[in-house]
Amino acid sequence: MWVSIAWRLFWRELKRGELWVIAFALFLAVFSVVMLTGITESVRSALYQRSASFLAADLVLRSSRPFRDELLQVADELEVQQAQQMLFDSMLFSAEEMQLVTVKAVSSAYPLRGELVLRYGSEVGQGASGRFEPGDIWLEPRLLSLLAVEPGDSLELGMAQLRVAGIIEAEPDAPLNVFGGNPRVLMHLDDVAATEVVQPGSRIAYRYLFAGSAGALSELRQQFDDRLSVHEQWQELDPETAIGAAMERAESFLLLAGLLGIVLAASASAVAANRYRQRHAEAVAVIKALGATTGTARKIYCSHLLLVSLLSSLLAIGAGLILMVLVQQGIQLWLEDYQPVFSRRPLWMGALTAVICAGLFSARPVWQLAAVPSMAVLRQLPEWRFDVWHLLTGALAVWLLMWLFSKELMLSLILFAACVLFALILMGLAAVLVRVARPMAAGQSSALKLALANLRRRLWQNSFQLLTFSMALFLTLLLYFLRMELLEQWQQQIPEGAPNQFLVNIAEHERSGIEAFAAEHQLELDTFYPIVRGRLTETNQQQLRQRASKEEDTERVGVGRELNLTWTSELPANNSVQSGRWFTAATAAEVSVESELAERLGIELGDELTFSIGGQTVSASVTSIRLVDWNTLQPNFYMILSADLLADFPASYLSAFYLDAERSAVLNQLNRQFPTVIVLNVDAIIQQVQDIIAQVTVALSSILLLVFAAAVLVLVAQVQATMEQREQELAILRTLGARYAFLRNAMLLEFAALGALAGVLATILAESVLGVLQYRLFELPFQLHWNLWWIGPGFGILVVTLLGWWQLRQLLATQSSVLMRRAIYT
Amino acid sequence: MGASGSGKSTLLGILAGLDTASEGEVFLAGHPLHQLDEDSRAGLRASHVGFVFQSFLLLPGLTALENITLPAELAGIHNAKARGLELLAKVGLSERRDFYPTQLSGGEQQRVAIARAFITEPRILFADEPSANLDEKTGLLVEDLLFELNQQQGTTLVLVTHKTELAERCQQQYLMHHGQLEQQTELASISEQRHVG
Repeated sequence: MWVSIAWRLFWRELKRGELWVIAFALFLAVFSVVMLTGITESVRSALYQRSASFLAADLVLRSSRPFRDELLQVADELEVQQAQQMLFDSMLFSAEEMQLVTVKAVSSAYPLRGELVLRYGSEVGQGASGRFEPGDIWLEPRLLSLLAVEPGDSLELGMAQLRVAGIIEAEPDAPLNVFGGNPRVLMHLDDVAATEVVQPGSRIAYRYLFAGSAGALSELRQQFDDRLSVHEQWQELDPETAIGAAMERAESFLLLAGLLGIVLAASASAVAANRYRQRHAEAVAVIKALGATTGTARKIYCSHLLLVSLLSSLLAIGAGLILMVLVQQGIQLWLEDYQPVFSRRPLWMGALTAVICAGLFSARPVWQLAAVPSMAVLRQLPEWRFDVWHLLTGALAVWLLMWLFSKELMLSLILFAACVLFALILMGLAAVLVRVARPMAAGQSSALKLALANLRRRLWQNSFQLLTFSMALFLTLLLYFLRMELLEQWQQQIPEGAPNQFLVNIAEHERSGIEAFAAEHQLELDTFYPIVRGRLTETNQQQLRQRASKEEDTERVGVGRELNLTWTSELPANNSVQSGRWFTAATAAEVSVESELAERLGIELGDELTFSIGGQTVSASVTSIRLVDWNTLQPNFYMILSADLLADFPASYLSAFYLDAERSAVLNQLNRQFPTVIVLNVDAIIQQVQDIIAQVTVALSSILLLVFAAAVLVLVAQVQATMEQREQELAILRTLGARYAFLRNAMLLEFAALGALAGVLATILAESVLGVLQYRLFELPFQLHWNLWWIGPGFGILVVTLLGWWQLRQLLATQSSVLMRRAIYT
Repeated sequence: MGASGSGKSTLLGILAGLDTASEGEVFLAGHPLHQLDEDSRAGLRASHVGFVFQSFLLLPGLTALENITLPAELAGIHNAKARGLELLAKVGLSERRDFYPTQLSGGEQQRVAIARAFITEPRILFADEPSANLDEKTGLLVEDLLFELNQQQGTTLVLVTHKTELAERCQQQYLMHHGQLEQQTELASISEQRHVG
């Protein structure tokens, strides 16, 4: 029998809007989780698929040992696509010239991801697209002039004769680090044996390339992990590259935004459930007085919560799924060969969120509702009291959600502790501010007086309201500014018109010629950086055995590869001194070392480094450790020496300029005029980074919107919670003759004051948290956000006042007789 | 009858089994209320007790008819709807059967509440200031209806009021004074006292 009563009441309550705020709050929490998990996974998989094209595969295993059939067989059994690649340095001989090159020998299936563009011709963009076959060798364009060959000529590599087929226009896994590399050539793996360059002891990098479904690849990784030796390791997407860093930051942001959005939506559902309890206490007392047991009353109202949770979760999961499909389609537009990835994780995460939100945020108030004594029909219920247990279960739910979503215990604990701390600080500040409002009211206009009196009268309630308002505003502001900052940082990384052509290996006597060439073609030439090639041989008179170059870890082969040493008296842009001091006028025999290299080699301030340069040794003491921003596509150096050490060595120079895509013909001219100068075009890299940034920006913006929606919902739930009280007060004031304009002004002022207070508190919090996050999470330098100080309070006033007005405008317009009747009869 | 805070509502609550007494024994329809737990008392109320409250206390989510049939449904009575329609007709609100409480006037709401009180054919009916929230004319109509139905159903009516005229219509009157109940034999003495609530 209770079922039919419960069912009837449920639909009526739904129609009357009693359950909407709970329903919408749950919807938003579940939807946020489904969408964020779904989008994060889609975007991540898109970015990985995109970055897979940088690896030319989904997964790359690097090895210093020859290919093992055992591993190839496992991959075959798992039906994973595979290709192999060998990288080594060797001399290449033409009839007249010779040149040290980096050879990339690949199997026919290469590349598994991304695009390899070859041309039967000698200039970029000209000639037919090439197909890669055994017996052929493909050269980087500059090699044609360096070796004085044309397509069709033959070259000697070791013992083999190979035919120059044409040029490499684009190579998916070309190294991102563009400085100081040998020219590259591409040949078929089958021809390697004939060259006989692979001898015991030769330094060769072997790579296994794999591509396939996520499931098959993870199975492959698992099966491989037990069989790998120390010589074999997986290649991860290098976080040092601009793309890797952009992705990691974006993921941190998505995660943080997601957590905050969920906390907001969940708080809204808690506030709404509390209001539901207050509004239904009387009805429960009546039902119980009329003969229902506590159990029956509980079944009736808990079934409402269950139904509303089910309904809103199902809708939210459905809506989340639709959105995910749309996002996947959007990604497909951008990434042609993108394979949509649908995992069940968003679904069960959504369902679990619904259970946590409904179970820990909303269930307690509804459960307690049934405990209202039937005696309440005769005697007024005691005033609402602060429910410590509800707060505790709510807090537990917040933390559980954070943990579930971040999958990181420490991060969730820290974030949770921060939230609790903020709540306490805000509560204290709010209470103080509301109390201070009393003396301010004296001597003000009557509408302002009434507004301040209203704020003061509901001190406890208002402190709580102020707390949630501030939290909601704070989170929105925080995300808005973080997003803005990330975008700015990314933009700065690759500013408009940043040099996209690098000139390497410029001889002293060519400098003036290059300058004249640049002036003739209206190119803005960067500074000439002098470069002396040298090898770090000793630290503190101890021979070095380690690999002393960072590039080797990502791309280059060869022990003790020469480093590009430079000298300058000024600290380069994007560099900062971490410890020690920069060169002074009196500097002599000093060196400044990049921080990560210093850490890896255990170099400390005061250490004595010995370099071997052109057969001579040079010693310098370390006087500074430098932080270098590797994300910028600018010339960066591991070692900067003082001028007195290097100035006498013959140096080559490095410079750069920006060139419009339409004027690429200038490059061919430059190549012809200065055949020994290497021109490196980084346009493709810049374009790829910018594409990714554009996509991530869309994801970030949509999540900001979602968090804002959750914040608005909290505000709405809070205003709704005071609706009955406002209605009664309004009835009394209207009966006493207060005019519409007066009441409206008082109400607007009350909300504006609340909004301003909440905005100021939110601003203070946002500024401090931004500082911490910037430094800790995103590794960005600290900056004060001047804009925040007017946007924060302004945004608070605007949003809170508008929302208050929107919700209460109908109440204000209600006739006083109707208000009186409602106040008395209900 | 009794002044505000004299303990009328507390007594009514204890008599109806809504509340329990800290000491003493209460028997309702032969059942020892003081020995029953809350759920048993609720069961007893469902089968034996009816209520009419000062502020009507209809459930806003249910229509007039559904409000009336609610106690019958809770008690598991089968022909609740037919009986509800009959009572609705008796209180003169047949045309308002699908109206929600907010769409009804105060007098109409209290008539629905009276019909609700009688649907389970209770042996005892507790009424707490049934006309205090109504204007005099409507109040009188509601009181008439209450006594009329009470007469028809042969129910015991326990009424709390501060209106002498209403008290005079009852067979026995008691005055509550600082938690003490005194039986009044002469009604005139009550009217001499000024009771507010």
